[in-house]
Amino acid sequence: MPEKTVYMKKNISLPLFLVVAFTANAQLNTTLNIQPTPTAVLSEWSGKNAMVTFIVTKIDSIPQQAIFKTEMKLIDGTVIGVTDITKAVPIILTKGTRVYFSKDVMPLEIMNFTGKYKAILDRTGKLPADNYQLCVQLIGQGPLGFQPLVAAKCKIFNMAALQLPILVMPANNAVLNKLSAQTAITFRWTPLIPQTQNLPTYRLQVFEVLANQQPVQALRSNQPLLDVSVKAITQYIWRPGLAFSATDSLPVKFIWTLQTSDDTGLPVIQTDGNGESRSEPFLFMIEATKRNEKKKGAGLL
Amino acid sequence: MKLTKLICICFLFGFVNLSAQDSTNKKFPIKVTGTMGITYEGYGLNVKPTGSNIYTPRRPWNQVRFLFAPTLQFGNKFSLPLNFNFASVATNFAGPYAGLKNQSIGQWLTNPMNNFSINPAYKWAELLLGTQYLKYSDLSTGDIGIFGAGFNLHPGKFMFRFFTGTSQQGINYAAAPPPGITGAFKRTHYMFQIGTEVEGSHKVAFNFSKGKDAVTSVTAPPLAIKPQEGFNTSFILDKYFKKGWFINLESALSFFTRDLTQPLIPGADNLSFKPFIAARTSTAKDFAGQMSVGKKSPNLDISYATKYIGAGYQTTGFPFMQPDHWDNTINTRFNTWKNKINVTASMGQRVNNISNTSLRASQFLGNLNWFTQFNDRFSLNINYNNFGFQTASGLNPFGIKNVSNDLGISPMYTWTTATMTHLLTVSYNYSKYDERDVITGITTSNNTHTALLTYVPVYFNKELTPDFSVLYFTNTMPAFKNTFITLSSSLGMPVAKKKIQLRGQLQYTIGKLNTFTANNNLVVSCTIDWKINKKLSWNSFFSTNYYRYGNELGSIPLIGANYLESSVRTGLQYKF
Repeated sequence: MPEKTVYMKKNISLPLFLVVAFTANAQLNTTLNIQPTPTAVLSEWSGKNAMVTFIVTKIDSIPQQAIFKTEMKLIDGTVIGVTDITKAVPIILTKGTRVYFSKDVMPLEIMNFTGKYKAILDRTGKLPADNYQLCVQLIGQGPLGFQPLVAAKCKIFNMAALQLPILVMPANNAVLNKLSAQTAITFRWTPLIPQTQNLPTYRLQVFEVLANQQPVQALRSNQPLLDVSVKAITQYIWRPGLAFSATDSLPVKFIWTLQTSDDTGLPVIQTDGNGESRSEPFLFMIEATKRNEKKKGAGLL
Repeated sequence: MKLTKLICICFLFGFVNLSAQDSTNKKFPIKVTGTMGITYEGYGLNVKPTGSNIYTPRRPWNQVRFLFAPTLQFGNKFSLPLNFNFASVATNFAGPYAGLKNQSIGQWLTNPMNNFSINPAYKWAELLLGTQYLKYSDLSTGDIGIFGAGFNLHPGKFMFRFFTGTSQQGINYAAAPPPGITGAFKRTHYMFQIGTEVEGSHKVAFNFSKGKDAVTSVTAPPLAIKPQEGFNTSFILDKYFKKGWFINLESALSFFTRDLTQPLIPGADNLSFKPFIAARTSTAKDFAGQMSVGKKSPNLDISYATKYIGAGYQTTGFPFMQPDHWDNTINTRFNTWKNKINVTASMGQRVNNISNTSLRASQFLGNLNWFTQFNDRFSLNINYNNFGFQTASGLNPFGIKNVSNDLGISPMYTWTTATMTHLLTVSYNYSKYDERDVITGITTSNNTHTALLTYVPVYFNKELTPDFSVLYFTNTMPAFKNTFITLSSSLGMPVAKKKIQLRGQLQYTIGKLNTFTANNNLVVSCTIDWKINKKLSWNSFFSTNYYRYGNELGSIPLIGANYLESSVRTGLQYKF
C-alpha cells in the first residue's frame, strides 16, 4: 500500500512539475563555466571569481526568488557533495543577465560532503585528485516544496593539488669545497607537480647567513646574493663571482630557497604555509678544504 | 639617517667607556663577558653599457651593522645577557617585510634584521624579553623570530615555558615604486610547553602553539597572502638508554585556517579546538609525526628515522614546512681499520600524497661518503649521491622522472721535506642528471664534469701560507655546452709582529658557452685582521669582481659587455 500511494503522488505531481519546469525554462537561461583545472583547495574558490561563473539571464520582468542547488559529482554521477538547500540564502532574479561566482553558487559553509570525501576535505582542505563534475541548478520554492526552475548545468574538470618543488642539490647541510664553489655551484630541484600547460617560473634565491643570524632570519632579512628566475627548468649553475672568506673553523653559511609562480607572476599556492610558494629552504656551507666535504643526507633526519 | 648617526655615536662612546672600565674591572663584583662591535659594508657596481640591465646589484650600497651582546654575571646565581643586534638599512627580499624601506618603530623592532633581547636569569628561572628564536620541537614552533615576552622555568626536572609576541607587524601592500612591498598581516604568537627533562636521560613534554593574523592590521592587504590562524599541539618523548641507544618521537596535531576572511562553520566541532581556534570553511585538521631510533657510539652510529607530515598539517611556527610527505631513512656512520676508514651513508625514500590529493610522487635518496687514510701520506675520499624522483602521468602522456647521480673521487697526497710539507689534492666529480619530458617521453641527459687540482705548500720556517689551484668544469646537454677553466691562488702572512694577518686571493676564470666567444672573470680579494689588543680587533675584507661577457648576450653594444663590482666589509669587535 505505501508503495502505491507514492506511485499515485508521483503521477499527480509529474504533470504539475512539467508545467512549472516548462514555464521556467521559457523564462530563464543559464550557463556554467569552470576552469578546467581549478585549485584543489576548495576554500580558495570563493576568492577567485574566474574559478566558477554561473550566468543567469531572465527574460521576463517578473521578479522571482530562487536558490542555487549545487552538486559535486564523480564522473560516473555519484554525488559526493551537495548544497544544504534549507540553509541556502535566496536570491531575487530580475529581468536581465547576472553573473554569479563560486562564493554564490557553492558556499562551503552549507555544502555537505559525504564519506571519505568529507574526511579528506576536513584533513586537507582539498578533494582527492580525480575528475569531477560540478552541477548548478536554480530552484524555487513552490507549493509542493523546492522545484527546479531550469535544468541543471554541469561541467567536468580535473583536480589535483599542486605540490611545490623540493630542493635537491646542494643537499641540506651540504659542505662544499671553497675553490670549486667560487667557480660554480649547481642547484637542482624537483619540478612543480602536476606539470601543466602553463609553465611555472622558479625564482632561485641564495642568502648568506651572517654571524649572529639564524638561517631563516637571514632568508627573511638579507638581500640575496643570487636572485634569478628561470622558466620550467630544474637546474641552475651559479657562477658566484665571490671570494668566500671561509676557513674550516669558520665556514661561510648560506640558505637557499625557490619561489614558484604561475604565468601571471603570482605564487602558485597562496594559502599554504608562508603564502609565497617558497619551498622549504636548505642550508649549505663552504669550507676551505675538499677533505671536509661531506653531505649529511637530504635533511630528512 | 639622524637615528643611525646617533646610534653610531653611542656605539663609539660605548667602545671608549667599556675600554676605560676594563682596567678597573676587577673592582666590580660583576663579571662581563660577550662581544660588541660595529661593521660597515659598502658595495659598488659599474655596468657597461650603462643602463643595459645585464647585471643587478646584490648587496646594499651602504650598510652599518651594530652588535652589543654582553652578559652580565652577578655572582653565581643571577645573569643578565643582552643582545642588541641591528642594521641601519632594511634589506628584506623574502617574507613579510620584503620591499619595505621606511619602517615604523614597531616594524623596525620586529623586522627579522634586528634583534633586541634581554634574558635575565636567576637560578632555574629565566625571563625572556624582546626578540627570541625559540624552538620547542620540530613540529610545533621553532624557526621564526618573535618579539615579545615570556619565561623558561626549570625547577628540578620539571619545565614550564611560555612566550607570546609578534613575528611581523601589519604592512600595507604597495605596487610602486618597483619592486613594491609584498605586505603582511600582523601576526601574534603564543606558545607553551610543559614537561620534564633530565639531560642525557629523557625529555617528555606537551607543546601548544598558536599564531593568528590580525585581519584589520592593514589598510591595503597583500595581494596574494591571506590572513591565517593556526593552533598546534604536540607530544614529544626523547629517551636515552645505556650503551648509546636512543629513541626520539613526536606526534602532533594541527588546526589551520588558511583564510580568516572565510565564514565560520557553526557546529563544526571536529575542526575546532575552542577557545583556541574556531572552524571556518578554510580550516583543516591534520596530523604529523616523526620518530628516530638507533644507537650512537664512538665507532658506530646506526639509526632509522621516519617523518610524516599530513597534507593539511601546517604550523605558524615553521612557515616554510612543506606538507604531504612521508620520509623513511636508514643512516649509519662507522669507523674501521684502526679508525683509518670513516664511512657515512644514508638511504631512504620520500613519498607524497598520503591523502591522495595530488599526483603520486616518490623520491629515492641515497648517499655515501667513504674516507680512507691509507698511510701518513695518502688518503682517498669517495662520495656518491643518488636522487631519483618520479610521478604518475596525470593528464600528461608521461610522468615526471628525474634522476641525479653524483660521484666524487678525491685522493690527497702529502709529502714532507726538511723545510716544508707539500699537500696535493686532486678532486674529480661526475654529475649526471636525466630528465624525462612529460609530453614526448624523451629523456635528456645533463652531464657535468668537474676536476680540481690543489697544491698547498706549508713552510716550517716561514710565515707564508700560499696555495694554488686549477679547476676545469664542463656542463653539457643537447645543443648546450658550458665550460670554465679557473686558476686561483692565495697567499697569507702575518705582519707587524703578527698583530696583523694578511690574506690575498686572486682568481681568474675563462668561460665558453657553446660557440660564443669566451667570457672572462677576475676576482681579487684581501683580508686584513688586526688584533689591536687582547680585546679589540679590526677585521676588514675587500673584494672586487670583474666580469666581461663574450658575444653571448647578443649584438653590439652588448658584445664585450662587462661589470665591475666591489665590496668592502670592515668592523671593530670588542670582546669583554
